[in-house]
Amino acid sequence: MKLVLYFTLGYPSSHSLMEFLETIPPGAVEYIELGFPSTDPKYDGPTIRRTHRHALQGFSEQSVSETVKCARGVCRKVYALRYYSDIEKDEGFLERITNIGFDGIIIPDVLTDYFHDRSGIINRVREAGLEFIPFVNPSTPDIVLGEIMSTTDSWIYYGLLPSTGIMVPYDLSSVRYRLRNAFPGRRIVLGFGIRSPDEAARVSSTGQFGIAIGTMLIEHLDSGSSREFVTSILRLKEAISSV
Amino acid sequence: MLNVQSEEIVPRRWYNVVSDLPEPLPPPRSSDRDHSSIELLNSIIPREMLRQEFTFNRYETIPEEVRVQYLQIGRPTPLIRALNLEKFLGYRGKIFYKLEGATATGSHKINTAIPQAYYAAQEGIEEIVTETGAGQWGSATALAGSINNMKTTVFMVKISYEQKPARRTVMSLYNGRVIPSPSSETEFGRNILKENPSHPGSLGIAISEAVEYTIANGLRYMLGSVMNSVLTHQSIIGQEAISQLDILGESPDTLIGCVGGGSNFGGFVFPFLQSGRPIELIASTAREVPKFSKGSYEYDAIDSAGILPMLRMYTLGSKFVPEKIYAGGLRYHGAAPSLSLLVRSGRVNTDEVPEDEVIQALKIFASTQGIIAAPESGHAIASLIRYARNRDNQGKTIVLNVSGHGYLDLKIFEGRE
Ligand SMILES: Cc1ncc(COP(=O)(O)O)c(C=O)c1O
Repeated sequence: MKLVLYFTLGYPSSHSLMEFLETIPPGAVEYIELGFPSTDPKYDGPTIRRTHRHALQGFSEQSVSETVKCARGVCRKVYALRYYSDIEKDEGFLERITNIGFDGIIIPDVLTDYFHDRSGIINRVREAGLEFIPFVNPSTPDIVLGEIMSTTDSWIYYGLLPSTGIMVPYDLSSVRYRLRNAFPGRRIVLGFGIRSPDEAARVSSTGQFGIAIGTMLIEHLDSGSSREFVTSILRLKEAISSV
Repeated sequence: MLNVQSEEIVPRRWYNVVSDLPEPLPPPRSSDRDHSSIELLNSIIPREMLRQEFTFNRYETIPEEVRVQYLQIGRPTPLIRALNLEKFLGYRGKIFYKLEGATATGSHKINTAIPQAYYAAQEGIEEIVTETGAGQWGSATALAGSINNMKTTVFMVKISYEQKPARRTVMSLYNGRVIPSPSSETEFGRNILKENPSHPGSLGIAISEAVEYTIANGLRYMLGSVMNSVLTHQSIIGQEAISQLDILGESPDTLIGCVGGGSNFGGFVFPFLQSGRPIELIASTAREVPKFSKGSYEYDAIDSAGILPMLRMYTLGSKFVPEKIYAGGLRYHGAAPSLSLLVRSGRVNTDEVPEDEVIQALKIFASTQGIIAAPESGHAIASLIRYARNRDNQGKTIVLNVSGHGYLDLKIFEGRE
């Protein structure tokens, strides 16, 4: 199983984020997602919300290109994460991030809050030369899963919980069953709420393509310890690599 | 056979509509930027309720202990052909009604109170807590607590507490402790009383007090409506009706029910969606609480204090103060997200009925079928009468859900006999 890491751009600062990224051991991480700070990160829990609020102060897109380069040095692909409501207010955003060097984009609210706009934005993402990574979750109905399966061909981000970093009990065996039926043969990355290597191991038992980690690593960014940051990544990697 | 009742009709699993909706269901969202009100749910509702709230599973097994209690409180409830009403209306078609008022506590509310109390008892909790406006939900919770050997504390909106002494008696017969809200039991209540010692209370205040009391004492809070897990439990209504209609060899064209938070309506109609047949669905609400026609579809708070998560729904605003209609259960400002989504997409039609017309409808139903329905259910009956009187609707098979009986709300007829 592969590891996907999430960071908020500009958190703790652009400079220190890059320093952390550079410590990631080669081969440990498959993809990196970089979130554009938002005033309303609605599907994020308290920890990631805090990073958005902090990163918004003095955020400038200028530093993004360097951060992307840095991330690219330690993983295979780099994805942008941004809320649809923010993208719509920012003309030329998709073209700019293509030029910056992102491989694709995840738009966590488009298939829920802007469902009727989905075809338009998916086309625009593709025209800009980016991969559109569908984000689906437990409240995505079967008919929509079917549509995603037939109209997209990238990997799919499956949120196990309604928000990041907020624990709600769920049943992994039914997740496995659902994904197998809905997305035969597709690469799925499971995310939201994986907060420890043990949980990563449990989730990896579903045999999907990868897991995404966000909230858990932010604690290391806060404490400023790159040694613990790297240890955590290696532990996660070990927890899922038997699968 | 006009009345179909057999143990086998009580289903063995609940139906959850989420995976079968035409569009993604917007999930509950935290109302507070810094704290998570979803996280808060972890410490106030049973874990199993939280899991059911966020699951995509189409079916959930009903625990055997819960199913046994469903039988004890009178399930399956009757499905009866309303021959007298058909005749009275001169309706050329068939009218059936599902009588949730026939349960022990007198409404559908017991269908979710039993499993919620059971899950709390499984966690070793000794006391459950909730709020009640009109008293139907408080009664159901108290009985469910009693059955599971738990104490039940009910914060009852003070004005109802004073106006409905019979409801208080019912709850205390079910071993419930009823506290008029605002009360001195919570800080929230004490603060309100300090400003206005004779505050009449509101559902929002009662919810806030119940949640505070739950947290302070490490108890479990019971959810009365609106939440998806509650609608899932209520699916027992529609599933039974499907089996009963099957036995009769009937296939409905139209389903009608009333909407407060949406639980009896959703529980009644959602199981029918699985057939894929184009059954007409009519949600009846109070003209005095026009959530579907005048409300907006947006994220809003469940409770007026904003403690619980926000839901995307049709809402008149969580601070909306409705007119004092008798149908207390329909005075809620919003409606369940799944139902709201289906109203918005046009799958569910709505009808709004004023109180005068509801009283007329209740009288017609009483004098023809002998059933004194709850004021809330009276809305569904009034919508049914409107529908059956329309020439375009002749020849159809209509099924109506009568969510509760009205023996404790006879005041509605005073001076109108
Ligand atoms: C008899 C009866 N019907 C209907 C309702 C409305 O609630 P819901 O829409 O959740 O079924 C209530 C709520 O108190 C009620 O007591």
